[in-house]
Amino acid sequence: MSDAEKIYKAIFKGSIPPSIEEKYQKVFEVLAAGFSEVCVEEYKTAVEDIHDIEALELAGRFRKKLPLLVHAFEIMVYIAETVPGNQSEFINYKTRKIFGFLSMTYGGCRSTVKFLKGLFLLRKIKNV
Amino acid sequence: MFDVVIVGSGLSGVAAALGFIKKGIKPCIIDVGSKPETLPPITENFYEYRKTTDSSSLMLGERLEGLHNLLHKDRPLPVKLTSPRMQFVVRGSQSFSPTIEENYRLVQSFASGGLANAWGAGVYRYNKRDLDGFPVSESELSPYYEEIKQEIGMSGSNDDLVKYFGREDRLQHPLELSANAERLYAKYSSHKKKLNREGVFLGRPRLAVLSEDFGERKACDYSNLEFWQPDLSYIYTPTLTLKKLIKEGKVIYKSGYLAKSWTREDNVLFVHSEDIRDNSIVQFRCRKLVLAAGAVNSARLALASNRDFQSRLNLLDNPALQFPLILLHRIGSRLETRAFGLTQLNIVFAFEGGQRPLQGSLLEITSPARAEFFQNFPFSARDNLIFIRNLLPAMMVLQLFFPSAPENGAELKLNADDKLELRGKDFPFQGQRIKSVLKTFRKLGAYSFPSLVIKVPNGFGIHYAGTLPMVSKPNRSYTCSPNGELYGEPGVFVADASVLPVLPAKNCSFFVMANAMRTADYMSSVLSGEL
Repeated sequence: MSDAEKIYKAIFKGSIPPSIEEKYQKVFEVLAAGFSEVCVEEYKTAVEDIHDIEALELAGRFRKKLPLLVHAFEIMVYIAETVPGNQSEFINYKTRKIFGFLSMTYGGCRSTVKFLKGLFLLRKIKNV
Repeated sequence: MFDVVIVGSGLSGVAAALGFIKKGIKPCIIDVGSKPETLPPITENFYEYRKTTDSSSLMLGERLEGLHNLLHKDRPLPVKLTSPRMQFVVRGSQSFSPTIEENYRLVQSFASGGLANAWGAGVYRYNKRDLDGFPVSESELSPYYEEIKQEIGMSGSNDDLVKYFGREDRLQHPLELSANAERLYAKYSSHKKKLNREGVFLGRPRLAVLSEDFGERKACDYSNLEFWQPDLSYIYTPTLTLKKLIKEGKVIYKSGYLAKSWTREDNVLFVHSEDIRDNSIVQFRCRKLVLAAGAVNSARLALASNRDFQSRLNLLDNPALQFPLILLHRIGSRLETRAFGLTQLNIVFAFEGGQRPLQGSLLEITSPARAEFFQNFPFSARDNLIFIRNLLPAMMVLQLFFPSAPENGAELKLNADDKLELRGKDFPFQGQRIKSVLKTFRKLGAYSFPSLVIKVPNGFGIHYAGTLPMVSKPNRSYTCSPNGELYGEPGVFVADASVLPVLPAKNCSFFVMANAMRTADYMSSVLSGEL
């Protein structure tokens, strides 16, 4: 599984459309050029060795670690938003207030668990 | 030789041009004049377009310009200017006007129409209090406001904010409110008396945005494209006037020239300009020169013409705070895909103690990319998307502007290597003020926390002013007379926001246009006496 595929799956569950993967690779090259070799190595280790990179990214974001992985997630979100098939991931087309509240409550709880897991996973990455 | 050369084609440049044309003088405008790329316009609603079309070209750009702030963290831009089709506004600015910035982020434009290509289109008269310290009265400016209004088209309402904005006749009806704004306005109406007693006034903004057709320009279609497409005909930009004047042969427009300095021989002014196509120096000869390049670049021209690498000039900009506001009852609502994506309402805080009022714009956040908010939520990536879907439709942003005066403004200096040095100062935002603003919004059913309030970086207010202030009796360099003439520089007039000695919280664009036209009027009468 490529980096792009793994990151996309961590955010959107499904498999990555080829157009997104192509754009991601292009942007990532530019992005990575602005980071140190150590950061690039950490990113590679994270993507290759860690299964739950969603948890890792969250912990990295809060702890100001793994900056390249955090940026990579952000870039993937920008690119994914431009694809017609992904619009419902970003936009509520129907009002569902109770469902909205419940989803957010679930999201908050899930993120707490992910954060704790992410802190544990951070320790597995060298140099961090 | 030209009678008049105007440097710059932004709001003040075109307003001055209109003033000269009215008096039968054909001005020459010198401008770098970057233009947007010629791309097919989006003709449908932003969200409808995205449902059916891969929008990477629109949102990210062919050269990934849309990711500017992620890929160039050292030189971030305000979000609207990262949009690929809007980036022409700031294109090349560092090469045309290199800067060294300390605690300051300068946004410059060398585009045809200037920074107003991406403005918020707020147009407010300066009242007596706003003009405190300025040697020109409300009544002197009044006829020019009327003429400008006829040129730009203006929507709004004479509501509770009349006290601050003044009464405007012949306004188009205000734009439709978004559901969030409508809710806030309704709550305000029911708590109005109490809020007014506390010095809080809410109302519809005065905008150079059309709610009805105006000549050939069409009314706002609520397409949410404000962040994505330049030249939307319902939002006035100076390019609309400029194109018309060029077509009618009323101005001579010299684009591709960067004015660098001026010199004088007898009564003739020579404007030394760089032809940006081949870097050669071209001289434009004129009787009178109008500086309308914006507060920063008009000051640069004045300093460069004097070869002055010592003086430090004041540079004002409105300090600003951004308050994200959540309307709880709207959580989980559908996103309002049909909306005007800029200012929905204005709020004025007139605190006790005789201080200048604060003015805020309540903005809809329907126009920026949803991804723009991704990192603002503190959850995991997948859960952030849940919050983007359910919370963003319930959110608005208050951009609260504070007045600026020389003591809290920045400093500007020209170095011998042609770099402008800018040093910002931190503005003392008072925590108590922030709490009081939040308390007001709680009464209106909108919630936030002090920790969520964002300080807009120094310079990102993009209301630059005050470098060449107008005083009643100028007696030192880099000040100008009430007619706009620069001290010690006969024939050189300042028409942009440089002339403001202090900057009220109220957006200065409308004032700048009216004052530029007033200056042109005076210059025309001098010229007709000379000719």
